[in-house]
Amino acid sequence: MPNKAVTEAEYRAVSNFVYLECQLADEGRWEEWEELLADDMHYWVPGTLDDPDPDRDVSIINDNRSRLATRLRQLRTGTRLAQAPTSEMRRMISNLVIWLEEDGEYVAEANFVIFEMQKQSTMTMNQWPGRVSYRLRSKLQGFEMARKRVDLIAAASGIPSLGFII
Amino acid sequence: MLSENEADGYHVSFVHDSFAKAINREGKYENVLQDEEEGVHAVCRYLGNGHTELDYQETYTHPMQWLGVQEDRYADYRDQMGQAYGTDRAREIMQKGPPHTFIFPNLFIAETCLVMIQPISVGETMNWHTPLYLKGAPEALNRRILRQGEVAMGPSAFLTADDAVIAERQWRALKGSPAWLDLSRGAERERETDKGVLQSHYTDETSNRGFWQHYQSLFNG
Repeated sequence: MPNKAVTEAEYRAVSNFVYLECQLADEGRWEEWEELLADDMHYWVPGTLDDPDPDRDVSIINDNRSRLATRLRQLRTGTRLAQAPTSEMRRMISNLVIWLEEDGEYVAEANFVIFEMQKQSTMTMNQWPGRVSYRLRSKLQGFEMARKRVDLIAAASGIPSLGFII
Repeated sequence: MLSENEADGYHVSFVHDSFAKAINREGKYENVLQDEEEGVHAVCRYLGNGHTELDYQETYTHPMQWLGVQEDRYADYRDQMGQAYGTDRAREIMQKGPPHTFIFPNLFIAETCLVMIQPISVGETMNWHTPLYLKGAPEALNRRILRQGEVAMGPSAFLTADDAVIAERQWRALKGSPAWLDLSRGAERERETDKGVLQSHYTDETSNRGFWQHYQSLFNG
Protein backbone atom coordinates (compact mmCIF):
# COMPACT_ATOMS: atom_id res chain seq x y z
CA MET A 1 0.00 0.00 0.00
CA PRO A 2 1.40 3.41 -0.90
CA ASN A 3 2.67 5.16 2.16
CA LYS A 4 3.34 8.69 1.09
CA ALA A 5 2.86 10.19 -2.32
CA VAL A 6 5.86 11.47 -4.26
CA THR A 7 6.18 14.63 -6.30
CA GLU A 8 6.35 14.61 -10.08
CA ALA A 9 10.07 15.35 -9.88
CA GLU A 10 10.65 12.46 -7.49
CA TYR A 11 8.64 10.12 -9.70
CA ARG A 12 10.75 11.11 -12.72
CA ALA A 13 14.02 10.68 -10.85
CA VAL A 14 13.14 7.29 -9.38
CA SER A 15 11.71 5.94 -12.62
CA ASN A 16 14.80 7.09 -14.53
CA PHE A 17 16.91 5.16 -12.05
CA VAL A 18 14.76 2.07 -12.51
CA TYR A 19 14.96 2.28 -16.31
CA LEU A 20 18.73 2.74 -16.15
CA GLU A 21 19.07 -0.26 -13.85
CA CYS A 22 17.03 -2.31 -16.32
CA GLN A 23 19.19 -1.26 -19.23
CA LEU A 24 22.44 -2.03 -17.45
CA ALA A 25 21.13 -5.46 -16.46
CA ASP A 26 19.85 -6.17 -19.99
CA GLU A 27 23.19 -5.21 -21.52
CA GLY A 28 25.37 -7.07 -19.05
CA ARG A 29 27.08 -3.87 -17.95
CA TRP A 30 27.91 -5.34 -14.56
CA GLU A 31 30.51 -2.80 -13.47
CA GLU A 32 28.05 0.05 -13.89
CA TRP A 33 25.22 -2.00 -12.38
CA GLU A 34 27.34 -2.74 -9.32
CA GLU A 35 27.88 0.97 -8.80
CA LEU A 36 24.16 1.34 -8.16
CA LEU A 37 24.26 -0.95 -5.13
CA ALA A 38 24.07 0.07 -1.49
CA ASP A 39 26.42 -1.68 0.95
CA ASP A 40 23.45 -3.49 2.48
CA MET A 41 21.95 -4.48 -0.85
CA HIS A 42 19.63 -7.48 -0.73
CA TYR A 43 18.95 -9.15 -4.08
CA TRP A 44 16.16 -11.67 -3.71
CA VAL A 45 14.29 -13.93 -6.10
CA PRO A 46 11.93 -16.08 -4.02
CA GLY A 47 11.38 -19.72 -4.94
CA THR A 48 7.75 -19.68 -3.93
CA LEU A 49 4.75 -17.44 -4.55
CA ASP A 50 3.14 -18.27 -1.24
CA ASP A 51 4.22 -15.55 1.23
CA PRO A 52 7.95 -16.25 0.81
CA ASP A 53 10.40 -15.88 3.69
CA PRO A 54 14.08 -15.99 2.73
CA ASP A 55 15.00 -17.61 6.05
CA ARG A 56 12.42 -20.34 5.79
CA ASP A 57 11.89 -21.05 2.09
CA VAL A 58 14.19 -22.03 -0.73
CA SER A 59 15.09 -19.04 -2.87
CA ILE A 60 16.23 -18.94 -6.47
CA ILE A 61 18.54 -16.06 -5.55
CA ASN A 62 19.11 -14.71 -2.05
CA ASP A 63 22.21 -12.53 -2.18
CA ASN A 64 23.51 -10.15 0.40
CA ARG A 65 25.99 -7.57 -0.85
CA SER A 66 28.93 -9.92 -0.40
CA ARG A 67 27.41 -12.82 -2.27
CA LEU A 68 26.21 -10.48 -5.00
CA ALA A 69 29.79 -9.29 -5.40
CA THR A 70 30.84 -12.92 -5.86
CA ARG A 71 28.06 -13.43 -8.41
CA LEU A 72 29.26 -10.45 -10.42
CA ARG A 73 32.88 -11.61 -10.14
CA GLN A 74 31.78 -14.94 -11.52
CA LEU A 75 30.03 -13.29 -14.46
CA ARG A 76 33.09 -11.17 -15.20
CA THR A 77 35.36 -14.22 -15.57
CA GLY A 78 33.80 -14.87 -18.96
CA THR A 79 33.71 -18.60 -18.20
CA ARG A 80 30.35 -18.59 -16.39
CA LEU A 81 28.91 -21.05 -18.89
CA ALA A 82 25.32 -20.14 -18.09
CA GLN A 83 26.11 -16.69 -19.52
CA ALA A 84 28.87 -17.44 -22.00
CA PRO A 85 28.06 -15.91 -24.37
CA THR A 86 25.69 -13.52 -22.63
CA SER A 87 22.01 -13.76 -23.42
CA GLU A 88 20.51 -11.11 -25.62
CA MET A 89 17.63 -9.62 -23.68
CA ARG A 90 15.32 -6.70 -23.10
CA ARG A 91 12.92 -6.18 -20.24
CA MET A 92 9.73 -4.17 -20.30
CA ILE A 93 8.57 -2.39 -17.16
CA SER A 94 5.01 -1.25 -16.68
CA ASN A 95 2.50 -0.34 -14.00
CA LEU A 96 5.29 1.46 -12.16
CA VAL A 97 4.18 2.79 -8.79
CA ILE A 98 6.48 4.77 -6.53
CA TRP A 99 6.01 5.90 -2.97
CA LEU A 100 7.97 7.16 -0.02
CA GLU A 101 8.31 5.02 3.10
CA GLU A 102 8.29 6.47 6.59
CA ASP A 103 12.04 5.93 6.86
CA GLY A 104 12.63 8.17 3.85
CA GLU A 105 13.40 5.38 1.41
CA TYR A 106 11.60 5.08 -1.90
CA VAL A 107 9.82 1.94 -2.97
CA ALA A 108 9.28 1.37 -6.67
CA GLU A 109 7.18 -1.57 -7.82
CA ALA A 110 6.36 -2.66 -11.32
CA ASN A 111 5.25 -5.52 -13.50
CA PHE A 112 7.84 -6.71 -15.96
CA VAL A 113 8.61 -9.23 -18.61
CA ILE A 114 12.05 -10.07 -19.96
CA PHE A 115 12.52 -11.52 -23.41
CA GLU A 116 15.75 -13.50 -23.37
CA MET A 117 17.45 -15.01 -26.39
CA GLN A 118 19.27 -17.88 -24.70
CA LYS A 119 22.49 -18.25 -26.66
CA GLN A 120 24.40 -20.65 -24.45
CA SER A 121 22.67 -23.93 -25.26
CA THR A 122 18.99 -24.10 -26.19
CA MET A 123 18.99 -21.17 -28.64
CA THR A 124 15.41 -20.38 -27.70
CA MET A 125 13.58 -17.23 -26.75
CA ASN A 126 12.62 -17.38 -23.07
CA GLN A 127 10.13 -15.09 -21.40
CA TRP A 128 10.32 -14.13 -17.76
CA PRO A 129 7.22 -12.35 -16.46
CA GLY A 130 6.90 -11.16 -12.90
CA ARG A 131 6.79 -8.28 -10.48
CA VAL A 132 9.79 -6.32 -9.23
CA SER A 133 10.14 -4.27 -6.08
CA TYR A 134 13.00 -1.86 -5.44
CA ARG A 135 14.00 -0.04 -2.31
CA LEU A 136 16.04 3.04 -3.11
CA ARG A 137 17.90 5.41 -0.84
CA SER A 138 18.73 8.99 -1.77
CA LYS A 139 22.39 9.83 -2.11
CA LEU A 140 24.07 13.17 -2.68
CA GLN A 141 23.49 12.55 -6.36
CA GLY A 142 20.85 10.09 -7.33
CA PHE A 143 20.00 6.89 -5.51
CA GLU A 144 21.48 3.67 -4.29
CA MET A 145 19.65 0.38 -4.49
CA ALA A 146 19.16 -1.28 -1.10
CA ARG A 147 16.85 -4.03 -2.23
CA LYS A 148 15.69 -5.66 -5.43
CA ARG A 149 13.09 -8.35 -5.05
CA VAL A 150 11.85 -10.22 -8.12
CA ASP A 151 8.72 -12.34 -7.92
CA LEU A 152 8.62 -14.51 -11.02
CA ILE A 153 5.29 -15.95 -12.09
CA ALA A 154 7.09 -19.25 -12.74
CA ALA A 155 9.12 -19.20 -9.52
CA ALA A 156 7.67 -22.45 -8.20
CA SER A 157 6.98 -24.11 -11.54
CA GLY A 158 10.48 -24.92 -12.72
CA ILE A 159 12.48 -22.47 -14.80
CA PRO A 160 15.49 -22.73 -17.10
CA SER A 161 18.98 -21.68 -16.07
CA LEU A 162 18.86 -18.08 -14.87
CA GLY A 163 22.44 -16.91 -15.04
CA PHE A 164 21.82 -13.24 -15.84
CA ILE A 165 20.91 -10.33 -13.57
CA ILE A 166 17.13 -10.49 -13.50
CA MET B 1 23.82 -36.42 -18.05
CA LEU B 2 22.67 -35.09 -14.71
CA SER B 3 23.11 -38.56 -13.25
CA GLU B 4 26.74 -38.51 -14.34
CA ASN B 5 27.14 -34.97 -13.10
CA GLU B 6 26.29 -35.70 -9.48
CA ALA B 7 29.26 -37.94 -8.74
CA ASP B 8 31.82 -36.75 -11.24
CA GLY B 9 35.01 -34.87 -10.44
CA TYR B 10 36.43 -34.52 -13.93
CA HIS B 11 34.11 -31.79 -15.10
CA VAL B 12 34.68 -29.61 -12.02
CA SER B 13 37.79 -27.74 -13.08
CA PHE B 14 36.33 -26.89 -16.48
CA VAL B 15 32.62 -26.38 -15.85
CA HIS B 16 33.12 -24.63 -12.50
CA ASP B 17 36.16 -22.61 -13.49
CA SER B 18 34.26 -19.34 -13.06
CA PHE B 19 33.18 -20.38 -9.58
CA ALA B 20 36.75 -21.24 -8.61
CA LYS B 21 37.90 -17.83 -9.76
CA ALA B 22 35.09 -15.91 -8.09
CA ILE B 23 35.08 -17.38 -4.57
CA ASN B 24 37.53 -17.29 -1.76
CA ARG B 25 39.29 -20.58 -2.44
CA GLU B 26 40.37 -21.05 1.15
CA GLY B 27 37.29 -22.82 2.26
CA LYS B 28 35.10 -25.74 1.47
CA TYR B 29 36.28 -26.32 -2.09
CA GLU B 30 39.92 -25.42 -1.68
CA ASN B 31 41.44 -28.80 -2.44
CA VAL B 32 39.39 -29.80 -5.46
CA LEU B 33 39.55 -26.47 -7.28
CA GLN B 34 43.28 -26.52 -7.80
CA ASP B 35 44.97 -27.10 -11.13
CA GLU B 36 47.23 -30.03 -10.34
CA GLU B 37 45.70 -33.50 -10.37
CA GLU B 38 48.18 -34.87 -7.85
CA GLY B 39 47.12 -32.31 -5.29
CA VAL B 40 43.45 -33.30 -5.34
CA HIS B 41 42.73 -35.77 -2.56
CA ALA B 42 39.04 -36.36 -3.01
CA VAL B 43 37.90 -39.68 -4.48
CA CYS B 44 35.04 -41.11 -6.48
CA ARG B 45 33.42 -44.46 -5.84
CA TYR B 46 31.12 -46.93 -7.49
CA LEU B 47 29.01 -48.53 -4.77
CA GLY B 48 27.24 -51.16 -6.87
CA ASN B 49 23.68 -51.26 -8.20
CA GLY B 50 24.18 -48.01 -10.04
CA HIS B 51 24.94 -45.94 -6.94
CA THR B 52 27.91 -43.58 -7.04
CA GLU B 53 29.58 -41.04 -4.81
CA LEU B 54 32.30 -38.51 -4.29
CA ASP B 55 34.11 -38.32 -0.98
CA TYR B 56 35.77 -35.10 0.15
CA GLN B 57 36.84 -36.40 3.55
CA GLU B 58 40.55 -36.37 2.74
CA THR B 59 40.36 -32.74 1.65
CA TYR B 60 39.03 -31.42 4.93
CA THR B 61 41.64 -30.21 7.38
CA HIS B 62 39.32 -29.20 10.20
CA PRO B 63 35.81 -30.00 11.42
CA MET B 64 32.88 -28.21 9.77
CA GLN B 65 34.84 -27.34 6.65
CA TRP B 66 32.09 -29.10 4.70
CA LEU B 67 29.78 -26.28 5.77
CA GLY B 68 32.36 -23.65 4.85
CA VAL B 69 32.91 -22.48 8.44
CA GLN B 70 35.55 -22.67 11.13
CA GLU B 71 35.18 -25.51 13.61
CA ASP B 72 33.99 -23.44 16.55
CA ARG B 73 31.45 -21.39 14.58
CA TYR B 74 28.57 -23.32 16.13
CA ALA B 75 29.91 -23.97 19.61
CA ASP B 76 26.62 -25.27 20.98
CA TYR B 77 26.39 -27.77 18.12
CA ARG B 78 29.93 -28.92 18.83
CA ASP B 79 29.05 -29.33 22.52
CA GLN B 80 25.84 -31.23 21.71
CA MET B 81 27.76 -33.55 19.41
CA GLY B 82 30.40 -34.10 22.10
CA GLN B 83 27.73 -35.09 24.58
CA ALA B 84 26.10 -37.44 22.10
CA TYR B 85 29.19 -39.16 20.69
CA GLY B 86 32.14 -38.34 22.92
CA THR B 87 34.61 -35.62 21.97
CA ASP B 88 36.85 -37.64 19.63
CA ARG B 89 34.10 -39.39 17.69
CA ALA B 90 32.15 -36.16 17.44
CA ARG B 91 35.18 -34.40 15.98
CA GLU B 92 35.61 -37.21 13.47
CA ILE B 93 31.99 -36.98 12.35
CA MET B 94 32.11 -33.19 12.08
CA GLN B 95 35.26 -33.32 9.96
CA LYS B 96 34.15 -36.16 7.71
CA GLY B 97 31.14 -34.25 6.44
CA PRO B 98 27.89 -35.44 4.90
CA PRO B 99 27.47 -37.78 1.91
CA HIS B 100 27.82 -36.65 -1.68
CA THR B 101 26.06 -39.72 -3.00
CA PHE B 102 23.96 -40.49 -6.05
CA ILE B 103 21.31 -43.13 -5.51
CA PHE B 104 20.28 -44.91 -8.70
CA PRO B 105 18.31 -43.99 -10.68
CA ASN B 106 17.54 -40.39 -9.85
CA LEU B 107 18.16 -39.37 -6.24
CA PHE B 108 21.13 -37.38 -5.05
CA ILE B 109 22.24 -36.56 -1.51
CA ALA B 110 24.10 -33.38 -2.33
CA GLU B 111 25.66 -33.08 1.12
CA THR B 112 23.27 -30.53 2.60
CA CYS B 113 20.56 -30.81 -0.05
CA LEU B 114 18.39 -33.60 -1.37
CA VAL B 115 18.03 -33.58 -5.15
CA MET B 116 15.68 -35.46 -7.42
CA ILE B 117 16.10 -35.71 -11.18
CA GLN B 118 12.74 -35.94 -12.89
CA PRO B 119 12.71 -36.67 -16.64
CA ILE B 120 9.67 -34.97 -18.16
CA SER B 121 10.05 -35.90 -21.82
CA VAL B 122 12.74 -36.48 -24.38
CA GLY B 123 14.99 -33.45 -24.08
CA GLU B 124 13.41 -32.06 -20.91
CA THR B 125 14.30 -32.79 -17.30
CA MET B 126 13.30 -31.12 -14.06
CA ASN B 127 15.83 -30.92 -11.24
CA TRP B 128 14.23 -30.59 -7.81
CA HIS B 129 16.09 -29.79 -4.63
CA THR B 130 15.49 -29.10 -0.98
CA PRO B 131 17.89 -28.34 1.87
CA LEU B 132 18.32 -31.08 4.47
CA TYR B 133 18.25 -29.73 8.00
CA LEU B 134 19.90 -31.56 10.89
CA LYS B 135 17.34 -32.62 13.46
CA GLY B 136 18.01 -31.06 16.82
CA ALA B 137 20.85 -28.89 15.55
CA PRO B 138 20.89 -25.17 16.35
CA GLU B 139 18.81 -22.96 14.09
CA ALA B 140 21.87 -20.95 13.07
CA LEU B 141 23.49 -24.07 11.66
CA ASN B 142 20.40 -25.09 9.71
CA ARG B 143 20.09 -21.52 8.46
CA ARG B 144 23.63 -21.88 7.15
CA ILE B 145 22.54 -25.06 5.36
CA LEU B 146 19.79 -23.04 3.68
CA ARG B 147 22.41 -20.47 2.62
CA GLN B 148 24.71 -23.20 1.28
CA GLY B 149 21.85 -24.57 -0.81
CA GLU B 150 21.41 -21.19 -2.46
CA VAL B 151 25.04 -21.26 -3.58
CA ALA B 152 25.06 -24.78 -4.96
CA MET B 153 21.57 -25.60 -6.18
CA GLY B 154 18.91 -24.12 -8.40
CA PRO B 155 18.65 -22.33 -11.74
CA SER B 156 20.78 -19.36 -10.64
CA ALA B 157 23.27 -21.23 -8.50
CA PHE B 158 26.97 -20.65 -8.80
CA LEU B 159 27.34 -24.33 -9.66
CA THR B 160 24.29 -26.01 -11.16
CA ALA B 161 23.37 -23.29 -13.67
CA ASP B 162 26.57 -24.12 -15.53
CA ASP B 163 26.05 -27.89 -15.27
CA ALA B 164 22.59 -27.47 -16.79
CA VAL B 165 23.85 -25.45 -19.73
CA ILE B 166 26.52 -28.07 -20.46
CA ALA B 167 23.88 -30.82 -20.32
CA GLU B 168 21.80 -28.86 -22.80
CA ARG B 169 24.75 -28.36 -25.12
CA GLN B 170 25.49 -32.08 -25.06
CA TRP B 171 21.90 -32.85 -25.90
CA ARG B 172 22.09 -30.43 -28.79
CA ALA B 173 25.34 -31.97 -30.01
CA LEU B 174 24.05 -35.54 -29.85
CA LYS B 175 20.48 -34.97 -30.94
CA GLY B 176 19.26 -37.60 -33.37
CA SER B 177 22.54 -39.42 -33.80
CA PRO B 178 24.21 -42.08 -31.69
CA ALA B 179 27.71 -41.44 -30.45
CA TRP B 180 30.43 -43.07 -28.43
CA LEU B 181 31.09 -42.01 -24.87
CA ASP B 182 34.63 -42.57 -23.64
CA LEU B 183 34.45 -43.52 -19.96
CA SER B 184 37.92 -44.98 -19.65
CA ARG B 185 39.56 -42.36 -17.49
CA GLY B 186 41.31 -43.94 -14.54
CA ALA B 187 40.35 -47.53 -15.38
CA GLU B 188 43.94 -48.63 -14.80
CA ARG B 189 44.14 -47.16 -11.30
CA GLU B 190 40.77 -47.87 -9.74
CA ARG B 191 40.92 -50.17 -6.74
CA GLU B 192 38.52 -52.15 -4.62
CA THR B 193 38.39 -50.83 -1.06
CA ASP B 194 38.22 -52.98 2.05
CA LYS B 195 34.49 -52.32 2.01
CA GLY B 196 34.21 -53.97 -1.39
CA VAL B 197 33.47 -50.91 -3.48
CA LEU B 198 35.45 -49.48 -6.38
CA GLN B 199 37.37 -46.29 -5.70
CA SER B 200 39.61 -44.05 -7.75
CA HIS B 201 40.88 -40.51 -8.07
CA TYR B 202 38.27 -37.72 -7.92
CA THR B 203 38.66 -37.03 -11.65
CA ASP B 204 38.39 -40.65 -12.79
CA GLU B 205 35.29 -42.18 -14.35
CA THR B 206 34.85 -45.12 -11.99
CA SER B 207 31.50 -43.70 -10.95
CA ASN B 208 30.25 -43.17 -14.50
CA ARG B 209 31.38 -46.62 -15.67
CA GLY B 210 29.47 -48.17 -12.80
CA PHE B 211 26.34 -46.14 -13.44
CA TRP B 212 26.21 -46.99 -17.15
CA GLN B 213 27.07 -50.68 -16.65
CA HIS B 214 24.18 -50.99 -14.26
CA TYR B 215 21.87 -49.02 -16.54
CA GLN B 216 22.78 -51.29 -19.44
CA SER B 217 22.23 -54.42 -17.34
CA LEU B 218 18.65 -53.38 -16.69
CA PHE B 219 17.94 -53.20 -20.42
CA ASN B 220 19.70 -56.47 -21.15
CA GLY B 221 17.67 -58.35 -18.54
